[in-house]
Amino acid sequence: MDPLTLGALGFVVLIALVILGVHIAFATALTGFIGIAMMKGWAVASNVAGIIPHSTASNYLFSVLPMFILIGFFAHASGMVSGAYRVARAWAGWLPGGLAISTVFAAAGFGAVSGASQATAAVFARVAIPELLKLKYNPSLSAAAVAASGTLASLIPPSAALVVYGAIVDQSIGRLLLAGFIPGVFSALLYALFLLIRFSANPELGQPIRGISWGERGLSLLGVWPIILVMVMILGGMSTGWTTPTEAGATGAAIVFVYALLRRKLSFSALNDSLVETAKLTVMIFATFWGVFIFARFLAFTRLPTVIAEWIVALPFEPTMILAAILLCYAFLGMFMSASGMMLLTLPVIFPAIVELGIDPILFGILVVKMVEIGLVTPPVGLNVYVVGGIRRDIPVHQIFRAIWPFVTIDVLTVVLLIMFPGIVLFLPNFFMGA
Amino acid sequence: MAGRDAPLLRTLDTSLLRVEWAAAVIGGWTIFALMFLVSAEVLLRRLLNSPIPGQQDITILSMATFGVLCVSFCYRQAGHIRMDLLLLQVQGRAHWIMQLLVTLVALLTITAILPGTWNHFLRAFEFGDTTFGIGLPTWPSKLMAPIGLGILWARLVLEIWVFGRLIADPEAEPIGVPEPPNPLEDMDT
Repeated sequence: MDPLTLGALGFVVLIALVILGVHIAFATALTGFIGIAMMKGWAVASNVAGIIPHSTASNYLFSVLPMFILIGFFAHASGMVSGAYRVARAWAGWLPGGLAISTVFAAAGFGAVSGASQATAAVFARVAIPELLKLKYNPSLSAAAVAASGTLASLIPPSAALVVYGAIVDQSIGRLLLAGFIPGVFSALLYALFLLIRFSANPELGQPIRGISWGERGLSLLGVWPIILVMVMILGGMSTGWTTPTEAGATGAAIVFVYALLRRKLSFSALNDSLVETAKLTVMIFATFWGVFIFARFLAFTRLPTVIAEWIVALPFEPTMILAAILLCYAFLGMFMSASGMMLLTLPVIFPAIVELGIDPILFGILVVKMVEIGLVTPPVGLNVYVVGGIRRDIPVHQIFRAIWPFVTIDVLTVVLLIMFPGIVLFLPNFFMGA
Repeated sequence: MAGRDAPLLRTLDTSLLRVEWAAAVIGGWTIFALMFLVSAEVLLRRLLNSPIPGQQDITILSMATFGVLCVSFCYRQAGHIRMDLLLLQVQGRAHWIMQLLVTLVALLTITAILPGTWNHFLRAFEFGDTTFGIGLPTWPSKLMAPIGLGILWARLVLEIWVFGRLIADPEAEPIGVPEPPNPLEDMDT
């Protein structure tokens, strides 16, 4: 069998296994292993597949992942989320739809200490929705705002999804993280603007909070110093070149840990649980990395990605059109699969084409993550919506889905804006790390 | 659930889970230790201009504890990324048959990879391979791969029993079926 056919066949088998329910780590590793064995012999396959698990698990660049995950767990355990919520509420509560807008800003702020979209949605479903309902805010709109706001965490650094992207396509993780900041904040502002307009037009959906004193506002700021410190550490450390992403992550985690200790929020068993969970999540991503790397090695032997890239570049369409088509595919896939799963499966095949098309890899990373996040809030498998619906069983999932469309529209508009004005994404990394 | 018990399976599952949990504890505390090590390195390097020698070497070598050693714990807790849309549509015996097939694919994968990881360790051990920085031996780290995958292999073999039993008797209590402790807390990236 010629290598190209074998490559294509391998990909088909991989997809079939994934649809059947085989874990992505095993499906990719097995197809990759068999493919390499068929092309180069069993000994080579065994050698390649034997080296990759350890070489992946000893790549210094990837050590940033557990640190980012740890920040999220410590931030959760320390009750930092309520601090963020109190500040947002004190400062933005007076606006029309103030509490809903506060939820968006608090989630964006919490995104600065959390890299996981669903986790953020889960935390806010517990913290924010009861408050929103107490003030008689529309339940489905409240739940939709929470589900959508969760997605902000995956762009605002620390972002696990961007690290995964950087790891697979071998791009600077520091650049990617810096690039995610402005689009993340931009999305939060657009969400808030939408809520402002929506609640101004229809005040019955929820009332602003009145009578917050300036003293209360000032005091509320005390609850967010660790978030600000972590942000300064991560963004500042990386943009000045003072720290590597791992170092920024480790110091960020240490800051949140000290804060949790000071607040006496972290018992020994809670600490142990956080650490075990962090290890579990890290090994989950690492295992998928090795699987994908074995598969990517097989694909490289077949030259399939190169041929696909050449084919895509030869298409009689503008690169922007092709980019739009690729992103649409991501939005579709995002309906069925988790962010990292989808990126891990597709990027080894599609990324060479992106490079050939002359699309900036950093910009593409941000766009892909944004598309994936759209998938997380759209039916049928909008995971963030299910997480919120699972925690608040009194709010039917289909109503949340109905209320979430404006947020999805805003996200699609954001993606279009980012494509039209790539400077929004590339400004920070280019400014601090050179073009 | 009819609740028909299988004491031996339950014991094996719990015992293996203990080993898996221990591996995850090692992984987790290593992350914690690295957090301090790396933070200390940043402070010492930037403030006192005296970096900790071999910090990168230690980091790289210890990563295997949370990069591969605890892989089976994640499997038992249904942590690995998969698309279970189709799997969840199928109920009863057919569901368990599909689960068994999926487990067999996983077992085949690990059986294929495992010898290679062992050889990779053995080469490092026999040739005395060391790190670039401060010359630490790499074999203990490389040994984590066959140990971690070995535990996973044992788990997958046990899962064949788990699903085989449920195929024979779909009404039996599902002992040893990987499930997240709390589906809503199960975070993904």
